[in-house]
Amino acid sequence: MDKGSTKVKLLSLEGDIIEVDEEVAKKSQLIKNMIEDTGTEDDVPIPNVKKEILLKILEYCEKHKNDNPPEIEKPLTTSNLSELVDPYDAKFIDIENLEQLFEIILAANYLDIKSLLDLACAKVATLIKNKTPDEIRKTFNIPNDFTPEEEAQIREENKWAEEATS
Amino acid sequence: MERENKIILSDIADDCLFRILSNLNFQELQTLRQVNKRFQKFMSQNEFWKIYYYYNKNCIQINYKHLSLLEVLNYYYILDVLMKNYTRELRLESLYSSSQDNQQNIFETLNDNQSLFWSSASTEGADDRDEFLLYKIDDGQGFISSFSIKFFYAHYLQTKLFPAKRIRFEAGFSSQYLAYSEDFSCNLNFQQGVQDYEATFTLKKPVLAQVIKITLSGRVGIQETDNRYYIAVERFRVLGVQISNLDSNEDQNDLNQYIQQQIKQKYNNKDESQKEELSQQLNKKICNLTRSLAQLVSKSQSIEFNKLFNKRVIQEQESKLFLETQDLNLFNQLPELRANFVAYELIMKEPLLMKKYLETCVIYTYQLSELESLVVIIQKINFNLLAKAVVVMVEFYRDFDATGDETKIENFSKKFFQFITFTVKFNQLPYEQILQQVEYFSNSGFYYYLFIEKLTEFIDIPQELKMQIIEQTNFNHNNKKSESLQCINKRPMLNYIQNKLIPIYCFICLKIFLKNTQTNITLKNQFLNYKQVEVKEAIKQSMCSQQMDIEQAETTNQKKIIHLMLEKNINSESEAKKLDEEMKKQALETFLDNKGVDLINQQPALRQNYYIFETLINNPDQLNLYVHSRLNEKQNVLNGFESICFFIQYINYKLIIKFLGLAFDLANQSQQQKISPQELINEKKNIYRLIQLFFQDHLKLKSIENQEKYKQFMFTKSTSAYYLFIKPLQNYLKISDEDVEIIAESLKQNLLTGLRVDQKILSFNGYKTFVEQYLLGQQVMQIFKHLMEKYEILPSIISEL
Repeated sequence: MDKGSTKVKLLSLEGDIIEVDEEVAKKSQLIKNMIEDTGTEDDVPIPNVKKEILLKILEYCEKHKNDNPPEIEKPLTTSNLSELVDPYDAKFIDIENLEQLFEIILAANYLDIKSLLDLACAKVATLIKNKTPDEIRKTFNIPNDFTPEEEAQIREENKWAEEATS
Repeated sequence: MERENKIILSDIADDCLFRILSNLNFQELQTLRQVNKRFQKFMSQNEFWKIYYYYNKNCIQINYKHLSLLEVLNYYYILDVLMKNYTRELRLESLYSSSQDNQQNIFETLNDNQSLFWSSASTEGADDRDEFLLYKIDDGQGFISSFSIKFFYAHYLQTKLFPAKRIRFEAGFSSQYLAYSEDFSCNLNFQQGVQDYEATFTLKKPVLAQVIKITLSGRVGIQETDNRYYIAVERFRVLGVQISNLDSNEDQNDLNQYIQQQIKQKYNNKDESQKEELSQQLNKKICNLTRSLAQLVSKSQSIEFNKLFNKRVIQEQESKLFLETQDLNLFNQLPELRANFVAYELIMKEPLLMKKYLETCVIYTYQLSELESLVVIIQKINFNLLAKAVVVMVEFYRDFDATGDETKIENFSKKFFQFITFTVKFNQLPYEQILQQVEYFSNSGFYYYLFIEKLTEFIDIPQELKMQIIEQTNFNHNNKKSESLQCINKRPMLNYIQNKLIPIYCFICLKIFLKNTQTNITLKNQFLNYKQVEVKEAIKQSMCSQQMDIEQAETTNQKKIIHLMLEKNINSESEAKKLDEEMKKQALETFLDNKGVDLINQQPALRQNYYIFETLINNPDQLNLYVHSRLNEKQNVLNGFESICFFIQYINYKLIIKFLGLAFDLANQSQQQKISPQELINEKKNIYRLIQLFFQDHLKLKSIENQEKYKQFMFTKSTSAYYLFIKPLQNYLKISDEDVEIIAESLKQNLLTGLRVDQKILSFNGYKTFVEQYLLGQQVMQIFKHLMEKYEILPSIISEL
């Protein structure tokens, strides 16, 4: 099993050690740089990322250790991600828990895994797509902090374009 | 689930939020703005759009600097709607094709006539040469979404189709800077045998452009008659949205045609009145959208909409684009395109850029294209000198009292033409090593343009005159192409410019200037500062040029002081100076007190008169007074000294000096050409001769008031005229007293040998002619000769005029 592939020990937020193949860990630009600096002997601390999230991310890295997913076409033409990306990826990122999704975004950003970051961001975007402001607020639990006057003003501003296009 | 959202969207780092939003289109962004303040503010920050483009590479990058967030959103939104629903064929103008076979012009690719097409020149091999077609969006700019090509299908030949294997689409605002580029390959299998196949290619994202270039490579079709490869295009179309205010009839026709077509396709089942209503609605909608978009586009380009197509503005935009571009290729550029002018003008003004560009040029070719050669040559022209010459000539002419007499102007300009031909040589060629490797230059029909443009950097030429000159120098206006693309060797090219172009343009410039007697033509100030070049010690730099006139009068002549010291046996220099001052004052007083003081037969050597003379020269009023009092006293005859005093104030010294300065510059110019000593002498001789010619013909006295009054007076020729003439020159020329003496001496010699009879009495007119033709011409020549022989470099002899 161990065909000479080096293992890397990652230290999560909670202090747990996760052992992964070097090539998998290296999908993260951050870890790659750290390994190149200090070698694989020492634990690599990832103090910003929970174990749970880290494991999820490593799952993605394992899947893509030998390839680089193509860029997602922007702007998104549909809110159904599975039409735009690899079915595995679509399923992988189809996470009900928004907090977890955001945590993946932050972790992917921190670990510098571009393709995952793009995927997760696209996922969030699909949740915004084709929705009214109210629906968006509801989805993301965002309070409406506009006064009615401000709201009217913004609507007025947008009218211009609506008139031109109607 | 929602209550658990401790991390909400607002906690997400900005760059992540950018990434998320880059997935959205503009309508969605607009919706998002209404969600809460965080989003509204986020999108209002300056960097938002920059970063949005960065992440969303398929989005067309608009210039958002002059737009508010809302306007940007609207811009995109409207563009989106138009592009998705109402793209149509954009009207094109054909500009240029890389080659052409017979009459098969690029123009034919824009009409629907099937028998007319563009054909490339032939090649032996399939990949010998790429061809390109260059188009411009008629009357403005547009967003392009796709294009289509129909290759020519020849029913009558065995090989039916003459396609290209690969197509590169490029678009931008000038043919140099085609910011957008995309490569396509043609599906030839599908096209073979299908007569009417029009291949359509969709661009990755819409492109805002004015100029479109299609590069065709890889040939397939062979013509049996000559067994050579051709590419032939029957029809080329660009689809997209035209940016226009839709007020031209052409635009409206196009639009109506499009609408009818749409209605036919989509609503053919409706009855006529419904159709009519629909078409009106559609028309209104498209007009609204297009106008709104046009407004936003123009605003983003920071200009008024109606000025959108204004030449200057576009030029400026292009210049900016050009400067931002590092590796651009100016080969095969067409002077017909304004854009190239702009680019070249820019290059012209940036010698370093030019050098850099030429260096790359030389790697690829042994020949400079039309505009390249133009720029190179123009750089070598000594415009500073030329401008000076033109201005001096204009002033010269004005000072001759010449009014706008057509023939006089013609003659004068011809002389000037000669003058220029002989004298205005090129500056040392810049980038000599680079150009050594270039064998050929192209002859251009556009020199007039750059030439005049460049000249205006040095001379203030009123706009209307400039247009007139450009118009009149544009000889090849009607047959640009035939004239403009000849290739000639480097040397003949230089000769051509030097002996033909420059003089002719100057000739025309001058003629136009002279006819506009009202207009003032002046050198631009910054170029009046003659360079202070090292001058031999003999020339004293003691005088401050600004206070020249006053100071010169007061400056004590060193030599005179020494004379005085010796004569009066004074040991201290200051004492001698004091004495000198006193004597000066005394002389002046004597002169002023005694109207009857007689200067007859006065020799300048006599100190008293010398002082009086110096005083007089610097006091024209008194000189006048004196001369006139003498005229009254002496029964209409003035002696030699007095007569020269009479005329000396009418000599236009400033002009002489200016002309001398010019001549010196010219002489120095030839010296700097690194020519052999013999050549230099010849060169100098040539310049003497020209100056002589010029002075004899043109150096007239300033107009003498009351000429009639003086006709009755007689004047005596003076031997001391030489001295009197040269002395006032010192007011204008930084020239040492020693030199004055030397020149005066040589003038005296010259006069003595040349004019045996000194005391000849002449009529007013006779004397006038003598002064004009003999004194001025000869003396100026002598002075010039002396100075030029003595000093190697002499431009700084000219003081501020």
